[in-house]
This record gives sequence, structure tokens and C-alpha cells, in this order.
Amino acid sequence: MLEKYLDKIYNCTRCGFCRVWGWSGIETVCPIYKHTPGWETHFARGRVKLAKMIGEGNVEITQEMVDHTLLCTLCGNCETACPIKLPLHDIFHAMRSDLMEKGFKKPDHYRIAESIEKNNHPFGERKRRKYKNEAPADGQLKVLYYPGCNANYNAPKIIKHTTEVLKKLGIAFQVVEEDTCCGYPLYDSGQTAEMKQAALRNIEVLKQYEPDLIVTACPGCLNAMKNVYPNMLGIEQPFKFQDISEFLLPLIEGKLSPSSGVITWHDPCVLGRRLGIYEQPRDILKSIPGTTFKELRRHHEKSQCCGAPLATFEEMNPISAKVGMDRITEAKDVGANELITSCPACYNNLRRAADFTQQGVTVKFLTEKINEVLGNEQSLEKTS
Amino acid sequence: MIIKGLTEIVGEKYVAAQEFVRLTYTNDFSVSPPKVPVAVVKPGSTEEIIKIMQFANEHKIPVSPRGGGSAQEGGCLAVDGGIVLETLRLNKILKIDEENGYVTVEAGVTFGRLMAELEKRGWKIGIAPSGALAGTVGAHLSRPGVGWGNIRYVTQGDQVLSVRAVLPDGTIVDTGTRSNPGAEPFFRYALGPDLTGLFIGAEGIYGIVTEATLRIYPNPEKVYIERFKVAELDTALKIFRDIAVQDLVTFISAPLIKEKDLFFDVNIQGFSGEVDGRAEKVRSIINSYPGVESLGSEAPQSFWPNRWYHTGEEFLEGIAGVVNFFLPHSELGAGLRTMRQLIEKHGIKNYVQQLFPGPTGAEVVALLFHYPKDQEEYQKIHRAIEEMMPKALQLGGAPYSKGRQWAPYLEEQMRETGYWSLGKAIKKLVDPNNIMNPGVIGF
Repeated sequence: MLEKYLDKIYNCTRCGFCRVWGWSGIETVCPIYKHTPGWETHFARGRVKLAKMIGEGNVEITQEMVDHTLLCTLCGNCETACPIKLPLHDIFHAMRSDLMEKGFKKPDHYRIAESIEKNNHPFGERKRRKYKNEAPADGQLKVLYYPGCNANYNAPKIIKHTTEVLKKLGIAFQVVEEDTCCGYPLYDSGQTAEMKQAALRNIEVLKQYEPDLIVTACPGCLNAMKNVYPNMLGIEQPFKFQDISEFLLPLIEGKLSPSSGVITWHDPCVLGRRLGIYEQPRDILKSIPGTTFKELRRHHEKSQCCGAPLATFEEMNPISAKVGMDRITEAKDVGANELITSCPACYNNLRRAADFTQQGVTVKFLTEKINEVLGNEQSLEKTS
Repeated sequence: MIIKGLTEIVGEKYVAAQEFVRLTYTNDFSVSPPKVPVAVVKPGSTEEIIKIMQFANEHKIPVSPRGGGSAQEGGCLAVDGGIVLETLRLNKILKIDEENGYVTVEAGVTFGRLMAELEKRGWKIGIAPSGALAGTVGAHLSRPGVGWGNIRYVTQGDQVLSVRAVLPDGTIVDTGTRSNPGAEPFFRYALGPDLTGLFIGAEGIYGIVTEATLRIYPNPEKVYIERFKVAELDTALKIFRDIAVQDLVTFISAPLIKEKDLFFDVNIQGFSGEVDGRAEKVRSIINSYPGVESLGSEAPQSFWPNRWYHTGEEFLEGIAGVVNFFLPHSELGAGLRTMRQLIEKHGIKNYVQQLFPGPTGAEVVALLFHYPKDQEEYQKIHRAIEEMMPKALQLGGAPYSKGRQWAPYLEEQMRETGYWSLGKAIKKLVDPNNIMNPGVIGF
């Protein structure tokens, strides 16, 4: 895959803007750089050089080299710093895919791929709660809520709050009952061929619901199904998608009850830089009466990664913990007592980081916050 | 042996011997041929640098110091059998002395960070390079450092009150008033000859600068920028000279020099009334020339808050071979045209000329772009800059960064001079084993 990016790679001028800025509140561009010894291979400029050498096939690939490249969270922040706008995210993803194809997989890569193939989710033998759907009434918009594996297995609270919000708003919806993986963990780890298989299985599951609209509260799932399937895997699929913030924004106007405190928003890298969704969640949060909304120091397209891609659910990588704690400190620095986000991976990593730092910042999921302040006209139906 | 020795000094974590890491330290921001270092070492303190230099001196290992790795003349590249010493871990702002008006930093502090820290306290530095986000203080003053602010503040070298440098044998040298043990680095020209100057523009050939003290200034109450269009190059050059020698602006930016229809920005900083008065005077000078049109302030003013993000967009045109030198105002027209003739003689497909006026002359820049797959163009660019550099020296020009790119031409032009003899004699005295950035400048 790297071969097709070589022309772009050659154009890297080696200016180094992708390393550190230190200006305008942006300490480092790469979220992991400052938590490493800081070699060139720990930020984009050196990684581009590695991509060039791997793409040209003129370097001996070692496991240590692969390990350096795997420290990249694929957050894409370096793209915003690049004066010549190299497609750095895509280059680094292609590099990862090439390395995986060459057999440089880690035990976690095999474990995830095997679990997705066998269990239709990446989390092995773990169990989860099941959801009971009612059949949609004739003539109603068929809204299908796609919770995603991460929410299903690592943060069921997200599903609880999201479904409660939908019910309070009187939305007739169904939840995807089966285990089905969009394949994003395989994309993220560069296992493209395996992802294609997962994608084809996933589409078959979704077709059974005949949805008019699929709503996700997981940017990885949304990016996989909306962008990666057609653009990278060449898979056509018939569905329409919306992120939960896009779906809810027009529905909640005037329905949020007063709250208090200072809230801030963490842009998930995939939701922002990959999907371009910045304003809808902000508009929702800003519409909560009585609360003050403040931006983090690094926000919108310059938002900082939370570090989650380096962590597993079972274990925080030491760097993912530090990167997450950086973000919590930013929230504290702007005086926020709540940090809201809308990506299950960010949510989990930031919650753990908040626990570590004990800085009085509570991490909440977007629908969790909405659920708190959404009027209770509709009776809640308990999911079982 | 080298790896073991370096590891004993800085620890395993900060020595790179792996091929895949060393291969990412083979280039800077230039078209210089890549060189692979034997190892890369990242010391975290002056004390570690002393030990590294003592070790390198004992074993005659060449050492190439490197800051952000974003200079353009190959001055931070390794030589055969040599190591690269990266200063980025020396990243502490040691003291912002608001009482006495200076800041002391470690050499690896980037300008972006330094400016941000000073701004918080209402201060600024005089000069910052356009690559401020990546560039380090130590590397910049070693070039000797021009940039935004160069009419008012001239060069980074002119901002330096003192440096701490480590000589090739490990000796620490503090310069300026700091050379008096225990004294503050508040004044440069004291206690004897200006040894600070020995390290400014020297690109690490006499030793590694590990700390520097720079003057600071109040953050301007007002920044006024206005863009002008001029019909003729000669008119523009007269305007630049008039404004610059009268010390009316902080800097002038002319990033695209052409024979006809040029654009330039004037940047005026200071107290509100002062800025208004200077702007009025500048406009009256500019309007006294024919064929000049103001394009207003809106576009450049809106660029200003994001100025450091967007420097470098010209490199969308490819990687540039760079010929960058100073000429006095009186010679700018001839210098620019001579360079252009040489560029066109070699049939360079894509290039720009830029001019950054200072008080007594200007930095004349030519960027010759190519896409690296185009080896034919790459060879043409090399042939062009090999002809441009000696010509620039013959015109009375002085290269900004010398690196290894200018070294043979400097030697050819300068070898019979007392300056060259003295420079070489000092080099031999402080670096008898020629381990400090050998080949740079040509001493």
C-alpha cells in the first residue's frame, strides 16, 4: 500500500513542524512524542522517512522498528501541522498495513483478529448484556442504533444512556442485538484483509434490520462503515449513517433542563479529523441552560489525542495513561469540572486518566450528559 | 566502543545505534547528500555534553551538533565515522529576568515555546526564524540567525548577551559578564574581547552552545501590518532601503521578488502612538514613489495570529535547494538579477527569490524547487547553486548559514585573508583533533 503514497512521501521537506510547536498552547503536535526518548522515529518526520524506506524496500525491518511505528495513535494531528498537507494519517496507516502484511504482527493483533472472526467482537470470551427490541411499527422511520463492540463490552453505560435518551425523545428505534464488529480494530491495527471479512459479515447482519438510518455513538464504527468500507475496501453498502450528535441536535432543542458547572468537550480524533464532526456536540452542550462551556486549549482540528489507541481495555499502556492525563490536566486548566466526549475508547481512557490524576474532573459520555438534563416527559423503559 | 562509551554517559535510552533510527538523521531541510551517523546521542545536560566531548576527543570521533534539524545548508549532518549530538533534551527556560530584561535558555528550547512563555509575562524576543516552531535557540544563533524582526533587531547574534559553550576538550566557557564566576549574564561586551561572537555564526565548529542569554523586550502594544504592491523591482528596493536605514519598521517581508508587480508587507510594532507615527512616515515614503499601491491591512493582519503555522507553505512546490546570503542595500538589484540569470541559465523549472531587508542590507534568498523523483532537476539545481555560491561571494555577499554547502567556496574566496588564518588558527587551538562539526564553514 505504501507504494501508492511514495510520490507524496518524497515531498516531505523535513521542516519538522510536526514535532513541537510550543506556541499558541500547543506543546507538542504528536501526542506521544514527549513521553518517549524523542527520536525522529517518535514523530511524523522520522516516520515518513521510515515509510519511504519501507515503501522502497531498502531497509531491514526489525521488530523494534515496528514497535516505534506502532506507538503512532493514527490521531492525524500531524496533518494539521504539515505546511504541505501530506496525507500523514493515510501514509502511516499504509505503513502499518504493509508491516502487518509482512508478518510483523504482535500477539494482540492475532488475538483481536481471531476473536473478531470467532466471536464477532474483539474481546475474547467476555460476556455482555443483551438488548430486547420491539418490532418497529409500519411507516415509522427505521432507526437502528449501532452501539459497537467497545460500548457493548467495555462501557455498557453508554448504551444505557443512549437508549434512554432516544426513548425520552420518543424515537422508535432498534438496537443491534447481535455481536457484530465493524472491523475498525482491524483497520486500526493495519489488518486490512481481515477487516474486509469483518465488514462483509457486518453488512449482512445490518441488512436484516432493513434500517432507514443507522445511528452510532462510536466514531470508529461510523468511520469504518461510512468511509473505510467504500473508500478503502471497495465495499458498497446501502446504509445511511449519522453520528449520535448529528441525530440528536435537531431533536433536543428546548428540551434540556438547567444544570450548572463548567463543561468542556474532547474532540475524538476520528469524530473530528476523520469525520469532520466538530460543531454538533458543542451545539448540544452549549444549549444546556445554566452551564458554562469552555474549549480545551487544543480543540477542533488541533485537538489532542486521548491516548486510547495505545491501550487495551485490560491494561493502560504507560504512554496512553500519560497522554490521557495530559488531556485531563487541560480540562482542569480551563476550569472544567466535566469533560464530555463521544467515543467509547476516549471515554474509557480518559475516565481512567481522570481517576489517576484526581484533579476533580469527571469524564462523561455525550449521551450520559444529555440524559442527565433531558426532560423526563416520556416514561423510561428499562433495557434488560 | 562508541555506543558503549555514549551509553555510559547518557544511558541506553538516549543513544541510538539502531540502523532504522540513524537513517532518520541523515538529512536536514536541504538538498545536501544524506549522511548516516554512526550513532545519535541525546544528552540532557551541559555536564553530559562535557563528558561526550571528552570521550569523542579522546577517541577522535567527529561530532555534528543538531537542534531541530531544519536548517538548509547541511550543517547538522554527520561526517564519516561521526555521531550526531541532538540538543532537543536541553529544553529548559532557565530564567526570565524581568528586572534586568533578559532570558536564559538551554540550547534546545524552540522559539515557539520561548515566545509563548515570554508572551504570558508580557515580553517578547527580538528575532525569530520563520521556522520558529521547529527551530532551536542554540542552532539559530549559530547560523547567526535572522528572521522576523531583523530591521529593528538585526540578527539573533545581536540579541545574545552571553553563551555557555562546551569546547571539544570538555572545557566550559561562559561569555560576557557571566565569565566572571557567579556574575549574571547581563552584558555582553565586558571583561575582555567579545568571546560570545566566537560562537555566533560558527555553526558549532568551536564548541557546542548549551545555554544562551537573549535580550527581551516588552510585547508590543500594537502590531500594524500593511501590504503594498509596487510596479517595479528597483522602486521596491529603494523603498526597502529608505524604510530600513531610517529604522521605521520592525521588519519588511517580500517573500516573492519579481521584476514587475511585487508585493511586500511592512510590520510595525510598538506603543500605539509610536506605531501610528511610524506608519504615517512609512506611507509618506512609499507614496513618494511612482507605481505603488496600498492593499490595506486586512489580509496581513488576519494572517498575523496564525503566522507561525503558515510559514513553509511555499514548499508545496517541492524540496528546495537554497542559496541565501546578505548584500548591502546598494547591491541588491545587481545581486538579485545575477542570481536570477544563473538560475535561468541552468533551466530551473520552478524557483522563487525572496528578500528580507535588514538595517544595512538584506538577506537575498533563492529557493530552487524540485520533486525528489525528478533526479534530472535535482542535478540541475546542484549545478546552479554551485555556480551561484561563488558568484555571491564575488559580489561581496556573505552567506547566512554556511554549513557544508558553502565551505569549499568560502575557502576559495577567503583562504588568503587574515580572517581565514585567524579562524583556522582558533579552530586548531580549541579543536586540535578536528572533531567539532568538521567540514562546516571550511576552517
